[in-house]
Amino acid sequence: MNERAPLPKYGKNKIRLTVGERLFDFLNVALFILIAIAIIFPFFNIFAISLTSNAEYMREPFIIFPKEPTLEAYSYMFGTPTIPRAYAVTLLITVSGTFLSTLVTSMLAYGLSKPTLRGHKFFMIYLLITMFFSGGLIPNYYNITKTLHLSNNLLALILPGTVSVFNFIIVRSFFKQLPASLEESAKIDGANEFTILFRIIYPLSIPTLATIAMFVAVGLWNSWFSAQLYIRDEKLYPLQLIVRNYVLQEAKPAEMQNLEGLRDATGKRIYLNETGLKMACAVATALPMVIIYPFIQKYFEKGVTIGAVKG
Amino acid sequence: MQASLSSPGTNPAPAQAKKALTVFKGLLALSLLMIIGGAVWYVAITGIIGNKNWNFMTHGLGPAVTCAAGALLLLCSLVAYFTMPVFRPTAAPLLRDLNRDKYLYLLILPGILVVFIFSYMPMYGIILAFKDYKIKSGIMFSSWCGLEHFNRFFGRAIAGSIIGNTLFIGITQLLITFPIPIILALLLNELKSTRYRKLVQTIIYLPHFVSWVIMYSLLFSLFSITSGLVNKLLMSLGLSSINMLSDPNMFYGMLYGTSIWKEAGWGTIIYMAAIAGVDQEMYEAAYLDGANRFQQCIHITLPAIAFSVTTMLILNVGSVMGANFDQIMNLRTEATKTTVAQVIDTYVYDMGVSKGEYDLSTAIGLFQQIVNCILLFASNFVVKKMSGEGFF
Repeated sequence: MNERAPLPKYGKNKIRLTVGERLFDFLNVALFILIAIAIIFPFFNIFAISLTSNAEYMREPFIIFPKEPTLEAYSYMFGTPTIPRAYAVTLLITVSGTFLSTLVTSMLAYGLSKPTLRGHKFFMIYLLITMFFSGGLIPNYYNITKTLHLSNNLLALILPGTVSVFNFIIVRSFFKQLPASLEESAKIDGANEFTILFRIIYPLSIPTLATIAMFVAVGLWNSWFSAQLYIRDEKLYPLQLIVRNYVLQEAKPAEMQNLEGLRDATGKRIYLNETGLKMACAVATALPMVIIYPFIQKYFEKGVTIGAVKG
Repeated sequence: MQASLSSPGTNPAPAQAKKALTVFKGLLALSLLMIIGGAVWYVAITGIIGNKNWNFMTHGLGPAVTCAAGALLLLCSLVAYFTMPVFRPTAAPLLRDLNRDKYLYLLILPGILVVFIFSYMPMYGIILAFKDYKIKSGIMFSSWCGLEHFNRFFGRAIAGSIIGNTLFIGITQLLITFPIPIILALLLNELKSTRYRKLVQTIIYLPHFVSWVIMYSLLFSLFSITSGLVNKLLMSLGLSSINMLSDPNMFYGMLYGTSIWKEAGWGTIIYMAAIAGVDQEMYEAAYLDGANRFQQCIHITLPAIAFSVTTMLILNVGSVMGANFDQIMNLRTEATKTTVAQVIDTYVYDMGVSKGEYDLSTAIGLFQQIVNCILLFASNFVVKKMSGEGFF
């Protein structure tokens, strides 16, 4: 270690790789190409099936991509009221739930980021207990349906997840490391905590708030179980539940039963590819997430890192 | 309170104030005991009497009066605490702090309320586990039955297979899937081109963001017995098709496979974050000492992610018994749902929500939660003993 002489040669040596290293690098790159294909192909496949006409689907034994792609499954799907309405419901749940959760969680985190608050420790334990122990499925179900009477009400899908202790910890640890001087000057000017939080703290916390908002939004968009438990009226079903019932349970949405009257522009009867319709529903459900995801990816990386460090 | 006790200079008679404070604390404890005791008494006696013979004047008056008296006592002692001069040394700073932070309390109020309504209120429902639930009696008036539901569940022939399935799936899935993100992260770290690595990361995180519902749709499009792409390929090659979706023998393989496909990539994120924190000069120094890349990986990168590995292991062991409810709910089919795919969570759902046996399934859920808590604390304890750093 005492000889510093070899250091300048390091850069040059780095380029001269051994045969083993080169082989490893090649295999490593190849491995990740294979993994990427294995991940992308299933998505590509459901998309391809959704574009396949019934005739081609019946005729060809094996289709990677249809020779005559058609949008009939999509036009039929968006022609029935089911899917557009489910989009509206899912969007409503996701947007309002995300807004509410981010607001309530961050307010809670701000209040409890002050160790001088009397009862601070009590409230922390009060929240952390819920991470380890809960009522369980049936007591929760009973609470929401029988005690709170929220059956068949979209609030049952939005409200229970409003405070996630995991997100609370992320935001709280962010608030804790903000310099106290930020608030002190505002306090001297007579601002109360509401003003400080909304005018000073929130504008500084947009990346962190965006992180937890993304976590909540993905969770809400992908959730189907609470709708299965609490929603009876098919008109209030979110997308995921409709796809689950259709693909997994083979229970087709009521308004999609009638395929008789389908005619093309020349008045010829169209036979819809049923599997294609299923897959079109799945594509419609997954697509928003797949498109938005690369843009929000960096927020997730950040959130996971904060959450992991602060535990 | 401690702060004011240690500065008795402001207090004219410290001994008297100390005594008064002890009395106040005693009264506070007594009043809380009366309120809680009255509530417990009320819940207990309603379950014993039942709603047919229930008469508030004969049965409910005692606990109700106890509760009310406790509340009155609490109110009185609080009023006394904040008004009597003898308490001023401790009450005044508390009052000042409460007044100073009144907006903070307002800010945390909605969150505290939501947690109370949706997390604490259901905990009352846990008593269902010890009751013989009747719809018209509600939770409160249904009669107590002790541990009957636990005995009933463990007495069923299927109990052993359900608990066995749960543990088997949890443990094997942990063993098989846990190391993969670590290996992937180490390999990702060896990719030379940063742009290629970023692209790969974007792709392998993606499946985490689609739901298990979509996961089933993807599987269906590939492995459906009649129309799946893989099966069509096999058939056009003259081979027999594989019935992956509903063959009980393939169910566990499908679980491991989908877990790896969906979550292994995302699992690397936490390790990649830890690796990003490693000082690059460490690698240069190791290189100068003659360490090859494999040795650098083992001696520098691996120790850097050791803490993250520990953390993830504790979290995963803690949830061994119920981490994959969503997955199993979306992958089980008629052929597997009562045999290999039946785990505690799904059984609770089937018994409770589908069949309406609230009491039995609450008992089973409670059993599972207790085991989960024990596992979490045990794994934390073991890791703490082994490596000196626990999670909590």
